[in-house]
Amino acid sequence: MALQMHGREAASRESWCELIRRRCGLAFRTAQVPAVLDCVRQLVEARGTAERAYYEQLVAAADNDPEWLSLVEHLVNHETSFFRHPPSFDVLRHRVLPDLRSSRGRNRLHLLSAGCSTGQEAYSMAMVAMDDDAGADFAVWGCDISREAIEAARRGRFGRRAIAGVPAAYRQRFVVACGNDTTAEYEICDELRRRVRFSAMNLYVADAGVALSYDVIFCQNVLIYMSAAAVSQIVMHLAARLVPGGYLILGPGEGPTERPALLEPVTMSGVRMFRRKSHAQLEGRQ
Amino acid sequence: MQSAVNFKTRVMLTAGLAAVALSLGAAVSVYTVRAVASEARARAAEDAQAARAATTSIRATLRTAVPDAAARQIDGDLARLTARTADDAAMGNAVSGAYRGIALALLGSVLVVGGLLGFLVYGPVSTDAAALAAVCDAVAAGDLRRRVGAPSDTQLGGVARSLNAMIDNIGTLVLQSQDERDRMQAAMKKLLEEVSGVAEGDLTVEAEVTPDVTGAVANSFNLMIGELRRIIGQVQSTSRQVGTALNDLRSATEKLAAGSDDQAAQAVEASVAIEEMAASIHYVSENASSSATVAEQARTNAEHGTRAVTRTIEGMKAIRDQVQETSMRIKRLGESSQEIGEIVELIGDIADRTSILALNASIQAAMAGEAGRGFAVVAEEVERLADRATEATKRAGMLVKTTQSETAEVMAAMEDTTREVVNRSNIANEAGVALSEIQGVSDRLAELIQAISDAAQQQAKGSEQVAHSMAEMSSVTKNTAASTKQTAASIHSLGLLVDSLNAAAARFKLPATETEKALPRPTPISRLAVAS
Repeated sequence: MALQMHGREAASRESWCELIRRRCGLAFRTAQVPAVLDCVRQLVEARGTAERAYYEQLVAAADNDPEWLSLVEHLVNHETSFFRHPPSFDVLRHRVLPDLRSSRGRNRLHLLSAGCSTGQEAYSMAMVAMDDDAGADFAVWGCDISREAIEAARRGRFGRRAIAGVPAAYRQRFVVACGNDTTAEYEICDELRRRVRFSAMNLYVADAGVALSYDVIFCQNVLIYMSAAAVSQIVMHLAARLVPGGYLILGPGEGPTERPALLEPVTMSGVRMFRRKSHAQLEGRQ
Repeated sequence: MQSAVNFKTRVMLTAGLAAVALSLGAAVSVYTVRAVASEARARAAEDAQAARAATTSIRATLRTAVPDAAARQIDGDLARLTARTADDAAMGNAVSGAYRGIALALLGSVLVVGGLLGFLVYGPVSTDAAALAAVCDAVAAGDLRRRVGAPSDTQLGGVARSLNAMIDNIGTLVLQSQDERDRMQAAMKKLLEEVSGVAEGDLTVEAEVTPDVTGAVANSFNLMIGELRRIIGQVQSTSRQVGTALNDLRSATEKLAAGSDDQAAQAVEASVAIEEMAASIHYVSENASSSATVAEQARTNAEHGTRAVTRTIEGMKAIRDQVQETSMRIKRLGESSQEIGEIVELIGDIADRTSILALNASIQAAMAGEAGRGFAVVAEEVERLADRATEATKRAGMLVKTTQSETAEVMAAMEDTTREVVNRSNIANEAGVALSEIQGVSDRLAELIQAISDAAQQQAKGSEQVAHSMAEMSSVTKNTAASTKQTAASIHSLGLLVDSLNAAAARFKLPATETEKALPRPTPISRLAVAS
C-alpha cells in the first residue's frame, strides 16, 4: 500500500530502493544508488515506457515475472570463485562431513550452496564431498536469484582464470579442458556434474514448495548485500531448512546480530559456523 | 589603249592564275597537314582524357591511402601533369583550328580569284574559250592532266598557254606536297609506333627526336613520359612502403586488439570483485557500528551497576552504624537493668528488715496484751506487706536477671550482625571495584570499537571510490577495445586501398633504374586476416 502511494507520487530513488529491498532483501549502499537508477533508466528507455508506469508494473509483478527478473539480473553481483574461502572448505572436509557420516551412516547427504552465482561454490563443495568418499551418496544443490547465473552454472564451463582457483589435484580429477587455443575453456567432468543440480530461487522469500532438508548449507558473500532485516530473515529460512544437527556455514564476519533460536554457534577460528539444535535441545530450552 | 588593256588583262590573268595555283597548292598542303594535326589532336585529347582519368583515380587513391607530405607532392605532380596534358591537348586543338582557318581562307581566295577570272575571260569568247573552260573545269574538279590543246594566237590562246604552264606548275606543286605529306605520314607513323607502348603502361619507350615537325611532338612526349615515369616510380615505391608500414601496423594492431580484449575482460572481472569487496567492507563497517552501540550499552550498564553497588555499600554502612548505635543502647539498657537489680535487692533487704521489725512489733503487742491488740493487727499487716514486697523483689530480681542475659545475647547477636555487615560491605566494595574496572574496560572497548567503526567507514568510503574508479576504468577499457577493433578494421580497408593502388601502379613498366629504387613487393594486405 505504501509502495503504491509512492508510485503515484513519483518513482523516486527511495521508492526504487525500497521496492527492491522489499522484494529480495537487497540493500544498496549510498554510492551504489546512482548506478541502480542508471540501470533502471536504461531499462525504461529500452522499453519506451514512462518510469512511473514501469515502476507500477514492477510493483504489481509476481516474483517470476520476466520484467522483474530482468531488473534483478542487472542488480546482482555474480562475483564468486572456486574454493573462495579455503578454511570453510577445510572445515567441511575435516569436521562437518566426518561428523555427518558418523551420525547419518550411508544415507544420502544433501548440501546446498545458497546464492551460488555461476556455480563455483557448489562445484567446490561437490569436489570436497567426492574426494572425501567417492562411494558416498550425496547431492549438491545450488540456488541463486539470477536466472542467467543459474544457466551459466548448469553449463559448468569456466575460463582459464576461473579454473586456476581449483587445487591442482582436483583440477586433474574433476576438470576437462575443451575449446580451442584462443578461447581456452574448461568443463566440470560429467561424474561431478551429475551430482550437482541448480535452480533459480529468491532466498529472501520462504519457498514452501521446496520440501528438501539439507545437511550442510554454505551461504557466503550473500548476506553482505542484504539489509539487516533481510539477513535475519534469510538466516532463519536457512536454519529452518537444516536437518537437526545440520551445519550452516556463512562467510567470515557474516550473520545476524541476534542469534537465531534454532541455531547454536560452533566456535571455529576463522570460520563462521552454526549447527541446528536437536529436538531435545529445543524442548529442553522450553 | 587596247594593248594597255590587253597587257593589264594579261597581267591580271597571270597574277590571278598564279594566285589560284598557289592557293590550290597551299590548300592541298594545308588540308593534308590539317588531317594529320586533326588526328594528332584527337589522339592528344584522348590521351589527355585518359591521363586525366588515371590521375584522378591515382589522386583519389592517394588521398585515402597516403595521407602525408609525399602524397601531397605526388598529388601536386599529378595535378601539374594533368594540366600539362590538358595544355597539350588544347594546343593541338588550337593548331588544328589555325590550320582549318588558313585552309578556309585559301579556299575562299581561290573561289574569289576564279570568279574574277571567269568574269574577265568571258568577254572575248573564241574557240579557245570552250577549251579553256573545259580545262579550267577539269582543274577545278582536281584533274591536273588536262591541257588546252593547240591554243590559238589570240589573247585567249596566250591565256591557254599560260594556263597550261600554270597547270604544269600546279602539278609539280601537288606532287611536291604529296611527297611532303607522305614523309609526314611516315614520320607520324614512326612516332605512333614508338609511343604506342605507353597505352599498355610501358614507360620505358623513348620517341626519336627528328628535325621535322614531329620532332617537337616527340620531344614534348619524351618530356611528358619522363615526368610520368618519375611520378609512377614514386607512386610505386611509396605504395610499397605504405604496404610494408601497414603490415607492421596491422600485426601491432592485432596484438593490441587481442590484448585489449583480454584487458577488458580482466577489468570487468576486477570491477565485479572490487564491487563485492566494497559490499563486504560496507557490511563490516555497519557491523562495527552496531558493535559500537552494543559496547556503549555495556559501558552504560556497568556504570549503572557501579552506581547501584555504591548505593548498596552506603546502605550497608548506614546499617552498620545503626546496628552499632542500637548495640550501644542495648548495652546501656543492660547496665540500667543491673542498677535496677541492685535497687530491687535493696528493696528486698528493706522488706526483710521490715518483716523482722513487724515480728518484733507483734511480740511487743502480744506482750502489751489487750492494749496492744490493735497494734498487733497493724504489725501483722505490715509483716504481710513486707512478705509480699520480698516476693515481688524476688520476681523483679529474676526478671532483671533474664533481661540481663537476653541483653547479653542480643549484644552478641548485634556484634555478629555488625561483623556480617562489615564483611558484606567489603564484598560489595569488591563488586564496586570490579564493576568500575568493567566500566573502564567497557570504555576502552567502546573507544576501540568506535575506532574500528571509524576505520571501517573510512575503508568503506575508500572502497567506494576504488569501485567507482574501477567501474569507470572498466568502461574505458571496453571502449578502447572497441576502438582498437575499429582501428584494425580501418587498417584492413586501408590495406585494400593500398593493394589496389599497388595494382594500378604495377601496370606501368619502368626502366630498371626506376624499379631498383622500389622495395620488395609485400604480401597483399587484403589477403591477411584481420582479427575483428
